[in-house]
Amino acid sequence: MKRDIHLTAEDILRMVNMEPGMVGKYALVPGPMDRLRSLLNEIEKPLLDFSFMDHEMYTGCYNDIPVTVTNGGRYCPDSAIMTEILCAAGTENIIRIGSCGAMNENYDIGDFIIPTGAIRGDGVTPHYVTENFSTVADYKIINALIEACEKRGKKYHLGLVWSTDALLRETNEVITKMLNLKAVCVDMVSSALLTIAQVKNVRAGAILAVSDNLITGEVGMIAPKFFAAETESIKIALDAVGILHKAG
Amino acid sequence: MKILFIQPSMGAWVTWGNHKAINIAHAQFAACLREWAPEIEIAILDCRAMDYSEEQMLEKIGPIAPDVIYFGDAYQMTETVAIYPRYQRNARMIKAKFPNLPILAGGFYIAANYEEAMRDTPEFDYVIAGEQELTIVDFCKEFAKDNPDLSIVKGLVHRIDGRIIINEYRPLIEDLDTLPMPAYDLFPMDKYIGYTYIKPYQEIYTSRGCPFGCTFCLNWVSYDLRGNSDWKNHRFRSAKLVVDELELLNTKYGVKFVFIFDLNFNPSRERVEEFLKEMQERKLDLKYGIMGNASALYRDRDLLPALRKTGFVTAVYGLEVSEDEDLKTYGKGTTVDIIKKVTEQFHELGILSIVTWMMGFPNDDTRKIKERHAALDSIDPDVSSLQMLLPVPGIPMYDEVIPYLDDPDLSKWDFHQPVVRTKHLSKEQLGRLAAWENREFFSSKGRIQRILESKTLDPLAVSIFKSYFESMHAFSQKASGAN
Repeated sequence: MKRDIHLTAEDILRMVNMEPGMVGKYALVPGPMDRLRSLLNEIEKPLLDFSFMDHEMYTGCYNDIPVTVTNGGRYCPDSAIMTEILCAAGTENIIRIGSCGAMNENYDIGDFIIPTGAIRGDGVTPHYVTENFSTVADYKIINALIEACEKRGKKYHLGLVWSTDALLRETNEVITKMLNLKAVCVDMVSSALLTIAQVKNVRAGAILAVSDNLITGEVGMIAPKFFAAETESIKIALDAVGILHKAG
Repeated sequence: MKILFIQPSMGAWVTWGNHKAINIAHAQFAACLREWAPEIEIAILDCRAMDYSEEQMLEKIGPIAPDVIYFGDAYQMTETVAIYPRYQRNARMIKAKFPNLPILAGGFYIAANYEEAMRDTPEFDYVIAGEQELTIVDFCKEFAKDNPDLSIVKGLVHRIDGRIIINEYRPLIEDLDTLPMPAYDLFPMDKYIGYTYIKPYQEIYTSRGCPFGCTFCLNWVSYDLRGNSDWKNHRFRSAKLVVDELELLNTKYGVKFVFIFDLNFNPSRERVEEFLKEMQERKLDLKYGIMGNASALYRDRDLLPALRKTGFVTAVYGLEVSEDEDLKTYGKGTTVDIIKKVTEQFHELGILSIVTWMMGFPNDDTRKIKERHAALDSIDPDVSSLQMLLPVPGIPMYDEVIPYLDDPDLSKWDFHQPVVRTKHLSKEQLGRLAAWENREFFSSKGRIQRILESKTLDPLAVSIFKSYFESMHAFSQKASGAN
């Protein structure tokens, strides 16, 4: 039986009574709620757009630039929903503010990675694109994030992010395979966010703070330098918004 | 001479679900006639309770053979101003079938706008200005005479040779204890249902007026404006008589829940103490709710645990706006901090908190309304009862709001549909914000689970919440015009 999609992002926007044109041209998307709360402290006069299924979306200003912020989700399925919603709501630039596990022994906890594209290891993106599809981050956003990192004197790396759904199945065999595909880090969100934005013709990119290293075995998720990097990643993303806005 | 009190077929506020309450004013008028004019026959036709259509209403009138019909409501808790065009329509229908049957109208909206009522509704033969009991009694006594002289009936508005005549102002009844017990025996008591789930259900009112007199409050127009602030004259029945009434409802009619719909139950600490003492002594198997002022609830916070034990399970109190400065401007007599403290205590005691608030003030814009919602959300009541500002002639705020009127169709003035714009928002935008807020409030903070799974809230109070929650969609449709 052929039928249209049961529930679309537009349906959700109607359900949450979101007025058209409410979102900013730039959207910043941290994963978890506590990172959203930190980001909100940097936004002037944020107003709630809606709350839905543990997600909250606000629109306010950063240096007079309208910006929308939302907790995109910790994993690909919820991130896919929020990315679709943002795209349907009319934002033009999405910057993910996240964390990742490094896959290069020379990368330190607290470094930053700016993905140039994604290797899709998640279960969501096959519903959107074929295996041959190349997920790439937007070059303008990449360049803006690079400029922001350099102005702040922060150590960053470029390369492909591999997104997985199976955090506890990152075996040697799987990691070797991903290294051969040139992955420099792993997370659980970026492939869905970047792929869907790309499909919807919305520019997207990401700034990821390194929380652990799969090659050295170092785990830094509760390390002070990781928390510092998380805080810094918010500032880098906001700087990137300013850079993008200035460039027009 | 026989007077027929008609409650037309009508709903209630959409957020109250299936809600059919007694017209308590009719019950009070009937009791007064029985007491002071026993020669007057009384008939009741509660079409709302009996689910009679308007056609059935007309069929019922003939066999009753009244000499005069009365329409009216004490307060606005049915359809707010939308009841007025309903009375007008029903009056027209009745006159079309019974052209010589006089119609008397009074109560909310008409009490203050009597001239307009007589001018716009030729089917109203008589209208009551202000408080009604004594005027109805005097009117019936005079009307029953062979050669009545209605010009002597204080508070009555009538016509002589087509001219509208407004009789002398009727002073307020100062001592409400002189009023007899409402004539509940005349009404279909087993038919009344509250908030979809509560049956048998009753509403009473035990006091009149409110000392604060908020400038947007609609209840100003339950009184004759010649009275110079009659609405602010707070009068109350003694606690003993109130509890006598609750006891009657509980023991004779099996009522398990009563909403005491005084617009402000608790200005007097002394009376609250007396009420508590009476309730403690009588130990009624009854739960009840009140409407009151948050500052007075806070003043009486030491009494609340004991009141809870007597069956006090829910209260309605107003936030209206979220800036203390605005609260002061509108005469609300409380602060946001006090409302929050009261709500916190209610959570602890298992009392369902219903907070009313409003939108549609002339300076409202999206930011103000969303900030008001954020304030309400942080206060975290169990129920958000959002109401649209109405520019009703007779309220102190009328002159300020009337320039923003967008929809003069009174059938839409039901508290849930926007009829005004603001300086910054169209009425359509206001309606969409109302729909937005409604969904946001009820779907956030785990409220629904908290209340439905509560081990401290009374099940009857939870029923009230369920009614609001289940009506959420209907409210949003109405507010946003998405019908």
